[in-house]
Amino acid sequence: MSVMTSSGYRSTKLPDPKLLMWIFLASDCMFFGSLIGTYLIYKGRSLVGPYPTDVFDINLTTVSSFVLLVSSFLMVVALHYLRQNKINSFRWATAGVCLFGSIFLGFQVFEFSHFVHEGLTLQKNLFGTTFFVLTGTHGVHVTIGVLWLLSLLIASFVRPMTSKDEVYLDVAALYWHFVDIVWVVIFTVIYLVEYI
Amino acid sequence: MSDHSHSGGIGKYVLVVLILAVVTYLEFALTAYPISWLSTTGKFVALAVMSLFKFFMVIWFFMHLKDDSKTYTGFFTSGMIIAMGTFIALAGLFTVRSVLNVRQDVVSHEAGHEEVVEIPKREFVDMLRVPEVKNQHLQLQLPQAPDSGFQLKTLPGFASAESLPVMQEADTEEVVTELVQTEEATATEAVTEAVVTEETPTAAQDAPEPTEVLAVAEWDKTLGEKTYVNCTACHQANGQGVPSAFPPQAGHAPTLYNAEGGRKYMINTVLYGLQGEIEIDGAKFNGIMTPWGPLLKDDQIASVLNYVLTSWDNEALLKDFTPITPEEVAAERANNFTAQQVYELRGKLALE
Repeated sequence: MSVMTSSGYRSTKLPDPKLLMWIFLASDCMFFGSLIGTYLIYKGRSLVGPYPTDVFDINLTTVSSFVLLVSSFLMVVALHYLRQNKINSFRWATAGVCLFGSIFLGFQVFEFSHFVHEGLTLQKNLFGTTFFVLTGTHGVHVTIGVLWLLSLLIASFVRPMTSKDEVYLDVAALYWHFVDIVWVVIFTVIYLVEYI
Repeated sequence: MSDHSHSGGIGKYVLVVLILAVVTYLEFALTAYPISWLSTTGKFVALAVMSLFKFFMVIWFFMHLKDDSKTYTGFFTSGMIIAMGTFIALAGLFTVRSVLNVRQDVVSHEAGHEEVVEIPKREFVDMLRVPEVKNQHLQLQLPQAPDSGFQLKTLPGFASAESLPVMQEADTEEVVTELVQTEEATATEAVTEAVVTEETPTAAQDAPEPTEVLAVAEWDKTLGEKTYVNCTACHQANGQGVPSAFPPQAGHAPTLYNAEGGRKYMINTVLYGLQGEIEIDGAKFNGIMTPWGPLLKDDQIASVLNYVLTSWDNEALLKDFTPITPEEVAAERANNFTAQQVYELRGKLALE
């Protein structure tokens, strides 16, 4: 895999940003793994309500899961078009990712405010604490992703796109897809299992 | 522009996203509609399989691991493995351990105090508390005194009671004298010193009954320590708590104990929990204390309170400490308080 360079260092011959992103995502797995684990440990141990099924709206969450799935699709399409140098198609697709990402965040804001209205806060019970920390952390990831992609979209208007930008978009896309798969797990492990 | 071939259209991505959408809908349908022919376990398995399928589809096709360098796959897989390990370790530590712990206590108490309880094997949590385990070990000396009525517990991973150097008569007297002279020294500390300095392992069958030691240690420390495992998630193994959420017990428990009515208040807090903002030395705490009344037995509650009161140098701060008894706990059960009432009780304490 690695080759010797003239300076005597080994090189992976892989673009650094991309390799580092994969390593970051590996560490993020541990981060989310701990948060999901914590949620599960305290699952069913809340002493006062509201409990998960009192507040969950599975229809809404399913829709927001679809929204994130579509955004992931648009993301891979955006990268595909940038690699083919179809800048306009790339811009539309990236704007679509940002839009769908924002819709997802909108759903989350709605969900959170609905939960708080129902009496579930961060301090209310163990469910509130672990749920908000887990999904909130995911929401922060989505927010960062939207801002990141927006910055790349803006960059495409102010300067010509180069092969470097392709790596940057590739890295942002990896991050975005990862956020999507974390939601795949959350959707199943936190939401759906409550209804089995 | 790229080292991959990107001549094709977006057809395959469309196909992948359609498959993912269908699977997502199936997941939803599995929980939304009654499916009589599938058991709960079957549904769990189906959900797990579908989620994993989605997970790997995204990684494989959208994140291009399918035709990208295997180095990426390697790094990501290592992270996944460590994450799974963390997950399993967390689950093991906090669920399996505490469940086993509670069950074990129930069994040992139904069996009666005379029974010698063998702890199956040394586990993680025990390993983290080596200094206290040493003290436990030294208490094993006490049952050797005639008619002490003490329960002998053998901690695995350590030498059995028989193989220990046994105190000679003179040494034991020295311990007792030392105890009387040094107010600050606790019984166990004094015994510790004696055993550590003892170098000739000669057996003394006629060791006198160390009455002073018994008076202080007349509660089940092993049970207290085992029960305390339930408390560590919030109050931590070192009794320091968590800032702004869970109050420290180290240094604070004696303040409560020394206040008038504090003894009963502490029992009630464990029995009925506590909810509401409290202030300790200017620091505010607003967490939820679990009501342990339904989960723990009277002797577990009494011994865990004694454990808290005598750990982390708390004992030196106590005024006239007499161990809390299971009977006292049983008496407080009649209160049937709510966490709110316990909170009001705390307000009435004249804390220093």
